Amino acid sequence: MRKIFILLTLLITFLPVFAEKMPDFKLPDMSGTDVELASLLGKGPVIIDFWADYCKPCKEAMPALNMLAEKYEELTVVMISIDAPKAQSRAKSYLRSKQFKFVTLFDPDKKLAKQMNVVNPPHSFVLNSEGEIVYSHVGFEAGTEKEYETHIRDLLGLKDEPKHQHGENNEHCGNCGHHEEEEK
Amino acid sequence: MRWKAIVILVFVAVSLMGQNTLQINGINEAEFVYRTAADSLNTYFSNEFGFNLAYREFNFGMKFIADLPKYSNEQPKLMDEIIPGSLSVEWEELYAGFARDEFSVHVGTTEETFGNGIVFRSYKDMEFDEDHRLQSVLMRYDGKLKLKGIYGAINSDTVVNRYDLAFGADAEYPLFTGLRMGASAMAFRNLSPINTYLYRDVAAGRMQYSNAFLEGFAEYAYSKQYKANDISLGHAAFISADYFWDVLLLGAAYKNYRGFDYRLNDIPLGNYHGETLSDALASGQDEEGWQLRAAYTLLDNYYLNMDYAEAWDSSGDKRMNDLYLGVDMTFASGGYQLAWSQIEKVDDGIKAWQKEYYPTVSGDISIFSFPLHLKAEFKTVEKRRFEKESSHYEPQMQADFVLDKLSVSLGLQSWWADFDSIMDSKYNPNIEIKYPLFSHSDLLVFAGKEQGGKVCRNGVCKFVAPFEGIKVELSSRF
Repeated sequence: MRKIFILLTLLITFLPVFAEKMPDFKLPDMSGTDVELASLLGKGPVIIDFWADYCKPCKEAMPALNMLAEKYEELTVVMISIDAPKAQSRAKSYLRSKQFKFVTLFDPDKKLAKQMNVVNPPHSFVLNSEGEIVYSHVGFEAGTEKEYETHIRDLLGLKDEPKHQHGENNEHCGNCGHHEEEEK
Repeated sequence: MRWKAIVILVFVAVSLMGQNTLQINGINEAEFVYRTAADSLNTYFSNEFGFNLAYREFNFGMKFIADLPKYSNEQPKLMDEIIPGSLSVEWEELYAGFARDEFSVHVGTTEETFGNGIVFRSYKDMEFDEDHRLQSVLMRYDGKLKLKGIYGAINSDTVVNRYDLAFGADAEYPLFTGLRMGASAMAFRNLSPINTYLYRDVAAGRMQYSNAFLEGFAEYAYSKQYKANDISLGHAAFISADYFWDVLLLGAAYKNYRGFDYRLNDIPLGNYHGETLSDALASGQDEEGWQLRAAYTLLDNYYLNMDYAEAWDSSGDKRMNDLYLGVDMTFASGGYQLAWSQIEKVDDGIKAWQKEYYPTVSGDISIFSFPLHLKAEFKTVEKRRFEKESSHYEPQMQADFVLDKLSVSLGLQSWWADFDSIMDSKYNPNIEIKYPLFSHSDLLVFAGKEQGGKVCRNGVCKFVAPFEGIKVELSSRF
């Protein structure tokens, strides 16, 4: 028993050393058409967020993720719903009525969720343009989006954002893109 | 020799991972529990270890659990469950698979759905902690035409150490842009207590349509259950449509179920709160109903949501309605929500009715520049059974805040017979603290009492069992 415990510890210790890649997946979108991971990569960083309609923190995360999607043109935000099949219509209705800038996919049997150890939503992953996972986070609280933005800016090769670019009351800067080009 | 072989395998695995051809993902949740219930086992340790291994086209996964079974809500049953023999050490999940191009095979513990789940769904119900998963062989072809075939077994829920069987197929094809048509056929063989198999055959057709303005779904299923000369027929019809016009959503649904209650499906209940028609009637046995919903986004900051549903059985004795009204407000300073929920059920057959209604308020506030997320709910329950009427109140509050990396959630629940008994009532306080030890590991400490069910705290939603005591959990993902 003790040897097995040591072996597992070694395995768990060594495993994070290697860059973890998001597994190839093919999931249906709103219209039932399959979308592959490969079609989402190559443009820039990707945020993959597993959510459910019953999950309030997941819905609280959406405006913040939408803000990032609007701010960074190269960023793709993918929302993967893990709702049961009978609850999918409600999840679809919610997202369509909100008109967020997301790619919406569905994983009702949690096949990808299980591969990625997604147990409790929201669970987010930040990928680089090759599909390697650079950051993952479970949950969403006020300020979590700043961590995502830090990793996105690292991946885009941007410096820390100057403070004067934020509006009053920390409102997001809706047209910051041209400033980022100057920073590079 | 065996130990050397295992070490060699570890080095092979690590080197294969270095070439990015082998991927291992897993999670380990270790929990130390001190339970205050009066039983013979106050303190115990529980561990769940699961991993998925993917190498080229192959994948393999398992979940191992050393655990005490979930406790009952009812105190008198606790003593029966908490005996040394109730401890379990077992493989909860074991599967392997192969996928190449559009073709895939999966063997072992299976989670799969045909269509919307009306005909067939193999799944684990996290809300009620029930396992409806088949051990099966599942073959899939995911081209333009999607085909699935399954044959599997599941532990019988009537005879111990025996199995029920399920097998069938599903096909789906996109007729033209936006329209998908599908058909399913399933056969179920359930073992009865008198050691004979009951046969149920189900066939269904469905369509799904989606474009920029309209989202629609319709399915009709036919069931024939037979044993010897006794034949019973059933059907399930479900239609749902949503119309989107810019920021306005209008939707409706209709359901009609007769004799369609069995274990390996998951039928839509057609109401916002997921309520059954009656606590005394299985879903799908005898119910008909409709649902209307509307949502409107105003000025990007306000999201108005309304959902109303009614249902009844064929005799008209059992009836229910379900109402939800909600306003979500999103500003730079935070989000706020006001909601009203109301559920009424009537059963004239046993002269019973029950009404629950509860306002919910939640939002982000700042106290002395300290951000706080508050949630409050006040549930009123009124019921009548035969000639006896009763009512009670269930208030609850929750406050979440973050101190650097430390997340804290404070909760308080109570049960009031009436407003005069506020000071004499029992209160269930609890606290949960979450701290990220490393990038892939979280430490959770819970102390107090909770009713169980779905909880959303410290930014995460999960389903928990009723509990009173202290829990320390270390969750590691790799």
